[in-house]
Amino acid sequence: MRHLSLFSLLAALLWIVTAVQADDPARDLDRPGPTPELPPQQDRGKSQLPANNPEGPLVIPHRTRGHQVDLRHNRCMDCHGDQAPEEIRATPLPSSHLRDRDGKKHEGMSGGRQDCRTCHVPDHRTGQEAWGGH
Amino acid sequence: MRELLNHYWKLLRQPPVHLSLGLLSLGGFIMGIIFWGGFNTAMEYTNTEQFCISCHEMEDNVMAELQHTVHYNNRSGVRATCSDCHVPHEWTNKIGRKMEASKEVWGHLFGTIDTREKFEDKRLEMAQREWRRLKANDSLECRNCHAFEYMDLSEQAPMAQEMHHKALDTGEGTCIDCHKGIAHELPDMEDVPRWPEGWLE
Amino acid sequence: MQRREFLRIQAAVAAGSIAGLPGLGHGAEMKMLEDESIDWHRAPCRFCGVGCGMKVGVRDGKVVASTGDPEVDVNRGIACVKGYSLPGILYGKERLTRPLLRKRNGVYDKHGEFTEVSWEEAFDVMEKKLREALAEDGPDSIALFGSGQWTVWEGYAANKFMKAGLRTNNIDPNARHCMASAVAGFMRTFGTDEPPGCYDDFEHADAFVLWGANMAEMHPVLWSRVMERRLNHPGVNVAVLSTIRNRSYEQADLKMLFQPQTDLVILNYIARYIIENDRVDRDFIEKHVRFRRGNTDIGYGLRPEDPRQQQAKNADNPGGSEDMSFEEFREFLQPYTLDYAAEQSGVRKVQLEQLAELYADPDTRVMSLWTMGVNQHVRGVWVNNMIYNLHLLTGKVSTPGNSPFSLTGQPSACGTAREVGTFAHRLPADRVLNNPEHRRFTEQVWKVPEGTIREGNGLHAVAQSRALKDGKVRFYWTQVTNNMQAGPNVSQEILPGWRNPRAFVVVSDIYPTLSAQASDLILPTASWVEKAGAFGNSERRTQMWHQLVDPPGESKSDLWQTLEFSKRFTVDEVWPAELLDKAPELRGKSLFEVLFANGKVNAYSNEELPEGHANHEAEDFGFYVQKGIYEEYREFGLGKGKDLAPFDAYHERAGGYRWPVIDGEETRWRFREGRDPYVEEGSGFQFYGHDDNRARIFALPYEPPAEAPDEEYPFWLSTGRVLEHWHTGTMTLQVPELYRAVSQAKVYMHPNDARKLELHRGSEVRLVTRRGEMHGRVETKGRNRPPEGMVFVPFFDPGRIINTCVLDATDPISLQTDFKKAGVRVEKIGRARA
Repeated sequence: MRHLSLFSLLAALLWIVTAVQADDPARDLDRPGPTPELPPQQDRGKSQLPANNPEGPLVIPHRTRGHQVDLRHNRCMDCHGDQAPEEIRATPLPSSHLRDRDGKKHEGMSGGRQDCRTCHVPDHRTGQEAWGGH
Repeated sequence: MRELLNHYWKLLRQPPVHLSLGLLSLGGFIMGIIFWGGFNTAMEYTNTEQFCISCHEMEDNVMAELQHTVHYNNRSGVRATCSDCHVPHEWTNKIGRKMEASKEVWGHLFGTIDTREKFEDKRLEMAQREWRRLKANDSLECRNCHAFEYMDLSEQAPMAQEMHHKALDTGEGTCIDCHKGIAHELPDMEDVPRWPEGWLE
Repeated sequence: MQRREFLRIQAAVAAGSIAGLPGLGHGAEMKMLEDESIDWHRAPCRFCGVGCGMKVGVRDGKVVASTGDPEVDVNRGIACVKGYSLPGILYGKERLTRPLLRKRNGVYDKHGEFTEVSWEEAFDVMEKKLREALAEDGPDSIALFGSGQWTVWEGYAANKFMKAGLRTNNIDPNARHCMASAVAGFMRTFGTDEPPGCYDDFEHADAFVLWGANMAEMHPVLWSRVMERRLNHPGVNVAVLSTIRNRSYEQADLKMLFQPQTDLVILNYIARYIIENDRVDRDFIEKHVRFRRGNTDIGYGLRPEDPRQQQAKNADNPGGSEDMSFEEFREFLQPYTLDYAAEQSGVRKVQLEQLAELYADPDTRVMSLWTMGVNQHVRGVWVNNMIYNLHLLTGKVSTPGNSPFSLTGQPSACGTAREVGTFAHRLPADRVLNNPEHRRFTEQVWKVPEGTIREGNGLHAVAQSRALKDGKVRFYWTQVTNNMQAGPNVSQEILPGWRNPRAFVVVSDIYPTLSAQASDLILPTASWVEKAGAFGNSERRTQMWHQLVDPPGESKSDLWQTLEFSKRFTVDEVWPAELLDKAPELRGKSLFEVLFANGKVNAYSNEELPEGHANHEAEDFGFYVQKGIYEEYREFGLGKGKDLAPFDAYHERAGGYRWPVIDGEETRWRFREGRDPYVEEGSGFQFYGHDDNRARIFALPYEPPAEAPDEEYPFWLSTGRVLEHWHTGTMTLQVPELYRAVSQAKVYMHPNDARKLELHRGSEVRLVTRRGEMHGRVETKGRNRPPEGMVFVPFFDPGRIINTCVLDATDPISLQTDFKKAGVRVEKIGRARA
């Protein structure tokens, strides 16, 4: 039997006093509902531009969970860097990614581009409408 | 003291007088079982994850990293423990690896990697040792579970299919050539090839 | 479109073609480049306080593309995932286009269904309800909750309408949840709000120290500047202090995981280290610093009947302090030894020493960065002060790369909420309601009689929710904010307050947010480039934009709504007779005429409007409203160290200006001779916010949080954001890519905790606190990795309202809620057998 603390009692009392009226149409707004299960992440075919912005960066068509991006190693560069085998057909870095803020060109990727996820979102769950579609 | 030792030495050298050969054989047999059983139990115990992470070096670093990977947590619930990848299954190699592990015990006793900083400093060296071993045995510990001959390549991601076909067709490369960092974080990979040699001309 | 501005895209196209890669989307970009039907314009990003400059592509009256503006220094051509998603946020399926009123049998009914009505009818009901409240309970039964996402003129108009028009100080911005502790920190230490340095410090610092900020996700474009500095310049260090492992932590050199609330201990340890190792810049502190002992035991901003509030000795004067000497300060720090700091915080000694050395070493230029980890903290003001302590002890302030830098959350938290003074205790340009001279000056600028603005602070954010629940606030209007999801203690305070039968609640928004659904009247609103605007970012930079597209349906900007509604009241109705006696010429005039057609705000004719841009407000009111408001507002800052450039200047320069702007020149480093024109020659530094030109170092101790885990609620609960979603997800969940990337708020927890509770990744759990509950699914392998004993939940998801669980305890000085620390229980939701 769980010991009811003073706080819980207070909270319970407060709840009774403050409950929203029974016939209020918004009364259940804060009640939690079931949480849908998400489909598993899947690799898709080619990367695409975001639907609403042809000037936007390509989305990431494959799973990236657990990919190491830190000062020791950037996993993205295994395939997208210039050391990758050609068959992978991973999108190579455009030359803009070799330039720093001042336009200076570096041998590899410029430090400012280190965290790829800043601009590129993973897109690997199919069958999901945007929020407005719910 | 010396006299006492001499006495027992003599006793041991004397042929048995009161005991039958059968009893002696039986005793030896039982002792053998106990010894062998104990040895095996010890071998097995030192193969358990519980033993491995009894050192905080392992628990705080490699185990914590493993927990976020597919080798610890995945859809089918088949998981790898430390020894699956790091201890050869075949007997002589296993003993060899166990002998090697005695160095790791020294490392623990002398605190070679007892802080995160020391661990990070040694990470590349330790990783390279494992990569070398797996490269030399053609990724045997990987293939104990992941055998090419039973793989359904068509169920794999397109890029994985491509790479695996290539590896099969050319016979070049072994698992560890590409699959580094699948269970623990990678060290600085500046000078480490990420793909099999010969793939990049 | 100008080709040279899109080198970035051309480069991408070139790279694609060299590698001979077909179908990577670059073809589409080529099409856009050559598409003559797209007009390109300039506007700051709609989202965070970084304030990236964007190029916005418009075709057929719709925003169809966006990319970073290469000419704006903040981001020089790049943007984050949200900036690239801007075109998607305006056109979600659920966009509101007509006012919606709860009605039953053809009339307003609090329990009725939302029904489309005309603006006329909407304002009729609003007017009636406001008059009822005013007549029966006086002006303080009216309150308005605004936003750091207001444009400058929207905040200014609302502030004036409330404080001078309706004569109540019950106006507060959602920046109270976000920046209030930073504001109080600045006011206490420097006597003037906003940072001494600027973003240029990123390119000068040798070390970056992140205090509880996850910049990689929350300030991604600035993080790219940090990483560029770190990776392109060997020897630069990045130190991250965090209570969970996150992306910034992973990418740091020095990664420190600390126990919640012990930042107070670590900061005092570093101060002690600096002093005991004789690394104090003696000359600097003798000339430019004063030491103060702050009041302690100051409570938690809870309701007065709460025992934690009653036990607090200085709950009635939390911000008080008294002078002390350097020696006394040194004495005060004695308990904060390395051993003590390591034991309390859980950070290893070697790391604490490395961190302290970054600050102590005179040759290391340090930039400290922080946001919600520090500000949403029951001792948030203290932590702000204590970070400044380190920079002041070592003289590492106001010079390139030496920069205590408070990051902001919202696009105009600085520009609107803070500089315009839309807080319940403030007036424009650092002025406050409780200073009679400040009130008098404001009345003069506003051309209203002396005594119009009332003394005394109005209701701040959390107090507004409580007053609604207690029936004291009866007319409530919120603009550009979603407090039903973003505010603390939703189930016990906010929802019961809004649904209190005594209250009438109006929500102006662009989508049916939880707040809109909990209101009585929804007003459809114009957003971002559907109106002319101005934002001020974290580094004192003001940027403006023109209206680029029309808002959908009958949507109107908040500016239009406030001004149009103000036409419905005359001063005779809302001001007392004795006030009107002082200005008989105002008799019979509407609030609109008194406040906005006052000869200043309407001084600029529509002939000055820029060609090729609509301006719905100017067209409806007959004068260039935005320019008039801005030029009146500008009077407040001139000569106060907050000088803004003239209106037109901001449209002529990409990225605008960083104030103070003197003789057309912006200021990058304040308080420093040669950099800041306000600093006198020969003084070196002048912290002119205080009359004695000295900054303050505060002696402040560790004090415990308002709530910590216990037997019944054994986990820490911390909340926050994710990169992909802005605040409550209202806009970003409309964008397919962002929705698919992160479609649900997860319950991030440690795999060992999950196993002990027999939970799996993906298990549905119930999070229960003393205040409410929330359901969500367990994530053990995600981007956030809490230590054992803690769960982290983002608040963007309207289907999983974590703020039902959050305690409405605040910093007692700033009155900002601590969204980061509560005790929570995690229960498995079992499936009943069929």
